[in-house]
Order: sequence, then C-alpha cells, then structure tokens
Amino acid sequence: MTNKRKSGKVAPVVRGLLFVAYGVPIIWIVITSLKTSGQVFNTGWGMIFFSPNITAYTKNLHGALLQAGLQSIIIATGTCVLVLLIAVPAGYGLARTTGRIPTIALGALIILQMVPQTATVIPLFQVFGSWGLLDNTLGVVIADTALLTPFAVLLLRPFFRGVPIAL
Amino acid sequence: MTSRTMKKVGRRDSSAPSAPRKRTRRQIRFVFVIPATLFIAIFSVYPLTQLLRMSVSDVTPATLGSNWNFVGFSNFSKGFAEGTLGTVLSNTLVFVGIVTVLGLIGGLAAAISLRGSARGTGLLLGLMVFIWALPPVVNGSVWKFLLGNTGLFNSMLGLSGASPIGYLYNQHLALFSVAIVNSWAVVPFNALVFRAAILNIDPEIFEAAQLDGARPFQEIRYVIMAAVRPTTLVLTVLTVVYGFRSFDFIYVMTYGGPGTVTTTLPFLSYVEAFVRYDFGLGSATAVITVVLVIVLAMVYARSVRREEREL
Repeated sequence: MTNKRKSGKVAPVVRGLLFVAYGVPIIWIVITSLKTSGQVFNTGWGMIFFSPNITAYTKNLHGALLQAGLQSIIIATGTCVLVLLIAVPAGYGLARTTGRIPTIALGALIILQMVPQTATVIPLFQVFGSWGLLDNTLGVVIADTALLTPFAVLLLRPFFRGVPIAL
Repeated sequence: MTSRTMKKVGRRDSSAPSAPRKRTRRQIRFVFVIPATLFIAIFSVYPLTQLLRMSVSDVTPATLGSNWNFVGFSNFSKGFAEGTLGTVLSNTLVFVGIVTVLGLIGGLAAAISLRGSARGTGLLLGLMVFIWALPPVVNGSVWKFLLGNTGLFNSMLGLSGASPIGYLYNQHLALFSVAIVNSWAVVPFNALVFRAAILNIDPEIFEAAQLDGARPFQEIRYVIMAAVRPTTLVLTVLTVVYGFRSFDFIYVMTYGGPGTVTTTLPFLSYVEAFVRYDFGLGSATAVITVVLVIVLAMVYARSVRREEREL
C-alpha cells in the first residue's frame, strides 16, 4: 500500500516532464540574466557555457528601477487595502443573507469576473478621462480594485459561511 | 408574508420570540454589501453601459469627451466587412480550443501524478504555483526568449544542424505556439483544483478498487475520472473563459502578428481602440466578446448550482 504502487509507472514520467516544462523556463531566464547582451545571441554550446556576470543587474540598479518598484508597491498596497475594505464586508453580507438578492448578486459577480479586461479598459479610458483619473496611480488602483473585487467576494463568501453563526 | 411568519411562530412556541427578530437581523446584513455594490456600479457596471453606448456610436479621440453620433450597428457591420472580424473569430475559437483541451488534460495528468507523496511532489507543486503566480507579461517574455531565433529551442535544433523555426512569426505556427504557452500557464491552476478534488475522494474507495484487482489505469479511469466529473465541468468553463480573456501573452509574444494570425477578440478590440483610435469599432468587438462570455458564464452558474445541489 505504498504510494508508488498506487500511482503506477507513468506518474514519475509525468512528474519529470512537468519538472522540465516548469523548471527550464525559470532556469533559462536566470541564466540569460547573467549574460552580457552579446552572449545572449550566442548559439550552440556557448549558450550554456559562458562566464557569468552581473552587469545586467548593476546596470538596472538606478533611479528608474527604484521608482518602478515603488510604483508597484504603491499600486499593490493600495489595491490590496481597497479590495479588502470593500470585499470583506460584502463577502460577509452575502454569506449571511438569504433569498433572491444574494443569488442575483452572485450571478452578477461571476459574470463581471469573466468579462475580458479589454472590454472594461476601453470604457474606463473614457470614463477616467472625463474624471481626470488618467495618467494617475489612483486610477490604476481603482481599475485594479474594480477588476479584483468580484473575485475577492466570491472567494471570501464560502469562508464566512464556514464560520458558525453562533460566533 | 408577515402573517405567514406569525402563524408559523404561533405554532412553534419554543422559538417564538427569536424567529422574526432573526429574520430582520439577517436582512440588515445587506448593509455590508452596500460599499461593494456602489463601487461595482460605478467602476464596473457603468463602464459596461458606456461600452454598449460606444459600440453603437462613432467615437474618435476628438469626440471621446463630448457627445457621440449614434450610428446604429454600423460598427459591427464595419468589423465584418473589413474581413478581420471573421478571421479573428476563427482564431479565437482555435486558440480557446487548444487552451481548453491542453489545459484540462495537462491539469488532470499533473494532478494524478501529484496526488501521492512521492519525492519532489511538494517542490514541483511549489514551482508550478510560482509560475502560475507570475505576471503573464513575465511568463510571455520568458517564452519569447525561449522560442526566439537564438532561443533555447532553436539552439537545440541548431546543434543537430537544422535551420531555426519561426515559432512566433511563422504564420502556420504562431497561433499554436501562443496557445500552447497559454495552456502551459493555466495547467498549474487546473492541476491544483483537480488535485483538491482527487484528495477529497475517500481512501476506502481506492482500497476497494485495489482489492478488486484494479490496475492503476483502471483506477484512474473508473475511480478518479468519475469522481472529478463535476469539477471538470466547472473547470472547463473557467478554462474556456480564461482562453477568451487571454490578452497579455498575445500582446507580449506576437502582438497579434504576423498579420492578424494570432489576433483574438480581446486583442482586436484593444488594437482597434488604442492603436487605430476607433473607439466605436473597438467597443463593438468588445461587446461581441462580452456577449460570448456571458453565455459561458450562464453555463458556469448553472453547473455550479447543480453541483451545490448534489452536495
């Protein structure tokens, strides 16, 4: 009754293939990051055997990267806080109410979650343009929040349902 | 409604005082939903109505902020008359088909091979989740490197003396390359969901199957496949929708090219709106995509409800 017997002989092969499929791209990008721009275009054995260097990293370590990193952190934090502020109460509310309204709301959330991003980006461009939210970090935060709120609510609702009402 | 509740209350005297109060308290909880409702109404639903309006109007950057001329369905007919919409529709179908089939088969195979606790399982799962969590733009760039003329795949070919293959710019291969990379990116998620479903199967069922002399293949066919059927239904719809929404990989890897070979519906609407600056045309394409997605969402909602009823 070992696991090996259970999964047969094919499973290790599949696992090996998966390791290659998901490991190689990561290893490759790390290797490429340690090459000079000349070495990147080397073919043959030169693409595996080369003298690694970290110029690509040192070159990147200046204001633009820090600014981009800071921007990412602001957007990530802002979106996270805003989504939680909005989605946690909504998840709780939808978990503890019954009737037709939650059902409709859940259906709407599922549909909103599935709408392609370009379909929301086109009108958001126009809407934000008229509200002065374009070229603005706040605009990105709001757009991201609008994108993620349905998912967050759908994810949190079952969690709140799992908490006994007595508490 | 109230009188009926009262009657019920009168009959069941033990819980009599608490029942009506509970009901009102329950409905008061809708208060918690108000912020989300407002936010979604302003930033999700209102833009979608704008999208609908734009799709039947003539909108250019000059008129974006002012009044739009109503032009009826000419945006839709323009899309079809240009011939791109038809090509793009068939591209989208091929793309979604490949992503769905490969994503589901790959996910199930990965889940089955990862259900045990063999060595490396945890590491592999971690690796796959890591890849899944990476931004699509990063994954797309990595694959652009790998599939380029001097990338890993072509260098391997070069070692055996073959000439490089244009995975991303050959008009017969590009769509398949992007679709396969997209399925590669969705397999980890599908594997996680399938794995959860497989781990939910009662171990006694496996024991019974083994006592009956089931071989591993039969176990997969008659125990696992049967048990994950409801999950498969839900995942199929999710993967189809994922394929329909896919934009980032195409944007990074091929930018819809060569020509329109790898242009799918979301990418076409992006190009029409933000490259050609014909917002009306782009909106019309986006509306078609949304309608298709809503149909799929309804299928999804129905299958979820059926599954919840079964539980």
